[in-house]
Amino acid sequence: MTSPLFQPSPPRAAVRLLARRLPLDQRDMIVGDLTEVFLDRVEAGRRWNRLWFWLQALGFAMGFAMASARHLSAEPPRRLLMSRLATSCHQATRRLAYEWRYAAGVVLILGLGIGPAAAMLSIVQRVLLQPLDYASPDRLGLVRIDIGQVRNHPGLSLGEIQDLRKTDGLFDAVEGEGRMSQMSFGPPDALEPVSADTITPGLLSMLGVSPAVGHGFTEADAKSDSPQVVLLDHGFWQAHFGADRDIVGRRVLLNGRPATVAGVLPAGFTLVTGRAVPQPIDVYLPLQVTDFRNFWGYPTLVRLAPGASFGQVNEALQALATALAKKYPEAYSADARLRFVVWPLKDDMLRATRPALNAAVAGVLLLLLIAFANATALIVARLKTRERDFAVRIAVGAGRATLVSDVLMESMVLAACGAVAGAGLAAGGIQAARLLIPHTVPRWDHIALGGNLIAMSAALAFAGLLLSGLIPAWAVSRRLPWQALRTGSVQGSRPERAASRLLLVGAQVALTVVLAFGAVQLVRSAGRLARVELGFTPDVLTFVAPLDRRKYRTAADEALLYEHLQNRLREIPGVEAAAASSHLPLSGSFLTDAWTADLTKEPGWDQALANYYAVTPGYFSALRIPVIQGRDFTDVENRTGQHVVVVDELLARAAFPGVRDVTGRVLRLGWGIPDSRIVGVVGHVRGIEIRGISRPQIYAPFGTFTWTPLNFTVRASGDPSRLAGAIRSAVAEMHTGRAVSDFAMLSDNVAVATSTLRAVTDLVMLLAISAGVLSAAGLYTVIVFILHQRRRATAIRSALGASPGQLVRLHLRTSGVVILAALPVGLALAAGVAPLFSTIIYGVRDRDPASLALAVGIAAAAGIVGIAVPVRRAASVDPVVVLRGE
Amino acid sequence: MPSLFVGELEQLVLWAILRLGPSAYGVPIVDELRRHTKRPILRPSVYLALRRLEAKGLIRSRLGEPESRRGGRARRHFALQPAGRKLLRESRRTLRSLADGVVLDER
Repeated sequence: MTSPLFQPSPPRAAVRLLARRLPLDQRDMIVGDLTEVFLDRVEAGRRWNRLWFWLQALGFAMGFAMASARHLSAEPPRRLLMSRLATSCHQATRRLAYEWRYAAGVVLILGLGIGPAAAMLSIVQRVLLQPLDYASPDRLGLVRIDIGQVRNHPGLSLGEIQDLRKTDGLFDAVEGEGRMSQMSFGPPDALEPVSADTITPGLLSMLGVSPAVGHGFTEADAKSDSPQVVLLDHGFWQAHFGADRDIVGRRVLLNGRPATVAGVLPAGFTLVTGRAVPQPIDVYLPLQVTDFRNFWGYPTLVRLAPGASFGQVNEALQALATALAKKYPEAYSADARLRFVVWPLKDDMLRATRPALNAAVAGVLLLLLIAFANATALIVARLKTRERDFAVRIAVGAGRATLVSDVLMESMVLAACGAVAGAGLAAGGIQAARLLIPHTVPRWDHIALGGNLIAMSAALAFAGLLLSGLIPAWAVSRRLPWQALRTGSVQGSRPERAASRLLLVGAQVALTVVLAFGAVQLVRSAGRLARVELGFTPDVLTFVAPLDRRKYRTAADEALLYEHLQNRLREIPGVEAAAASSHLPLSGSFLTDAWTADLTKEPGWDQALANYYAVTPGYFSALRIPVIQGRDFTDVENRTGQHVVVVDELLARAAFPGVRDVTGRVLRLGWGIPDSRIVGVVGHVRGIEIRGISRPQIYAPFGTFTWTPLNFTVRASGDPSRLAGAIRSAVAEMHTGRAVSDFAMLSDNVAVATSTLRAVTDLVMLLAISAGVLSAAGLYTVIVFILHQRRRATAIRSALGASPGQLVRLHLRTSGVVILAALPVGLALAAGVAPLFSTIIYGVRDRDPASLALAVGIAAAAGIVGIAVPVRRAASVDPVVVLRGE
Repeated sequence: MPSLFVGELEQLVLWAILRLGPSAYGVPIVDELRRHTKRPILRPSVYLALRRLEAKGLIRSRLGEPESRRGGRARRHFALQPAGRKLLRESRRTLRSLADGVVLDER
């Protein structure tokens, strides 16, 4: 380095770098200073001097580049590039404005793809992917139990909660929620109905929820001998206590008994515990965990211990279940196949809707694919009209890069306009979705137009730019100028050009078949998803009429009272039917009983289970549940509590396979109920969930069993909700000692249970229909565009006396043959990719022939219309006008 | 439009130019700053500061003679403008009055 023969000099490449990167007025000073320091260092005998110089050069280059980026200086080369871009953008905009029909077509196609896609994706993100409002929700799980025939039951017995708590290293916490019930709140002269729920004291802290006022429950609160304490819902507290912060320690009356307010829950708190129908709760009471088994009525949430995964936990619980079955043979019979499954809470919450949401995402992707494919096809088709223009520009010296950048700039302008159009459509789509989606969908209030939507639109537009811009740019870059010039006319029909044009049409036809097939499959499965067989007609008014147990002590007293009340209700003008039942279908609460047709055995809790309803005569006609065999209960049976039952068709078939008439047969039930004779068979009813769990049903007359509060159902001519006043006074005449509550239409319950499903399937349906329309429209546009290029030939033929019909036939012979040939190719492709759709479709076969036929029909129709319209137009225009336009 | 705000490094550069007097050009300015601040000073940032100061009218520069030791390139000498001197005076006064009577834990 320091050889005396050579003058040491700084690395020349670094000097060149500096010379190129530094501003003119700074260059000499800086290079000179650095050279000076470099020589100083060399003479001082220091090492790594060339490396030092390089680092300095890089530092200066970067420093000045960043400084000029901050507009400290505007440098000539940069300005040149910017102005070139600006010019290119300006020219692209002018060209597009001149061909505004083409530009509008592309923007519309891109917008129609991007808009609904961005709206749908942001809805899915807000509803599906955002975490629950609990602390570290990914560690939370809901325990479901398999026992005997019952699968995925979302409730444990208290003893099992204890068992889970005793496991080692699996859970940080295991907490349960009790059955929801109706209570009366306030003094006897001003009773008000409230819905109450019980929770174990540790539940709130497990969820990371702390009361807005006061404190949660302590373990001592849950003891059965300690004074009653209560937590209030935020809304209830605001409505009834004017948000009084001194509420803690206040005594309130619940069902006539005093209770002390411990605190108020934070606003917006809801408990997600795998119910089909989450319902608002006004007050929470503490739940004590005992070792009671055999009643699986306690939805149980767990928080996994750090390091434990859901897979490990479920494996460990398998062993626990086996051990429990051995330890408690009286609770679980040998063939109970007891099993606990912990589901991630978020997954569990969206169990019913996930298939539909998956379909929605798939629909979005399909729509985007269609939009971008069509936009690309249109851009490529249009580039053909500019071939001569390009050829002339290349001939006079334009570089290939200039042409490609021009094409890319046009695509970029189109993509930007498409993104704006898409964002506008998405904003509108979100508003529409807010109207379309019922409020009952979980986290409906999170659906909003957010910044992520705009970002998503931009990202999608950029993807669109890449797809629909690069392909035409590539196509341009390999054009040879003399070929385009040689033909002398844009509309020349050299064999090579005609072939590539027909190939484009063919490819588009085949693609349309595939895309239309996907859309048709989605529309059909959305229809299947939304179809729900309830088994009853839900347009009845329901209310709860509890009674004071201290006044009506025996079941017979109660039955008589309710019979009177029922008769009184039937006297109200307009009432067609009135009946009472222990539970309502799809209300979120149900009672389960075991049964057996084998009278030599006791029914096993882990084997055949059914939902048990105590009903008064007239229940079936009030809900329009069909009586298939036998009859309804009689008033006498109801009052005297004879041991007769009505079963549904599922149970009849399961208990007595092959028996045509099961009336008169005897069933043995659990709960210590004496053996009961079947007097009738009715249709099956969806009682627990819309889809998923469905259990056979057993109906018993109300007199054999009492269950407060009792639900009344009233079917009336006209609008039953007008009757609330009359019903209230009828109940008041009966002096039940408790408030009438929960006036509601049962159809609202059903609407709640089906709302998410319906909302999502509606959205999927819309998406799929727009995808189908867009794919057909894309094919139509491309064909119109391509035939438009041939309008000169068409005009000449028309001038020579060809009739429009002849012209259409002529084009059908060339383009039509291509379409005909492409249809089977598309069909084969669609059949080939059909299995890819299998995860998103529901109730439709993979290669459903009807869907395939419909897809082919859509593509063929779009193709034929796409040929006929431009040809007719070309034939109708004065040929001179067309030819002069050359 | 040049910013009227003068950053810390720019002020230090002004002081260094003042100290160096007529011999102030890039190399000694960086050396002076390194000697006094006892912390790494990146050379490009000093040159950028010089450019900013000149744009703000706080210093002026003139080219010297080309030198063979610099590969035939000329030095650029810097000197304070009256506005630069005024700024240093004011900043020193402000610093003194702000710091006066304030106990600073010297560790």
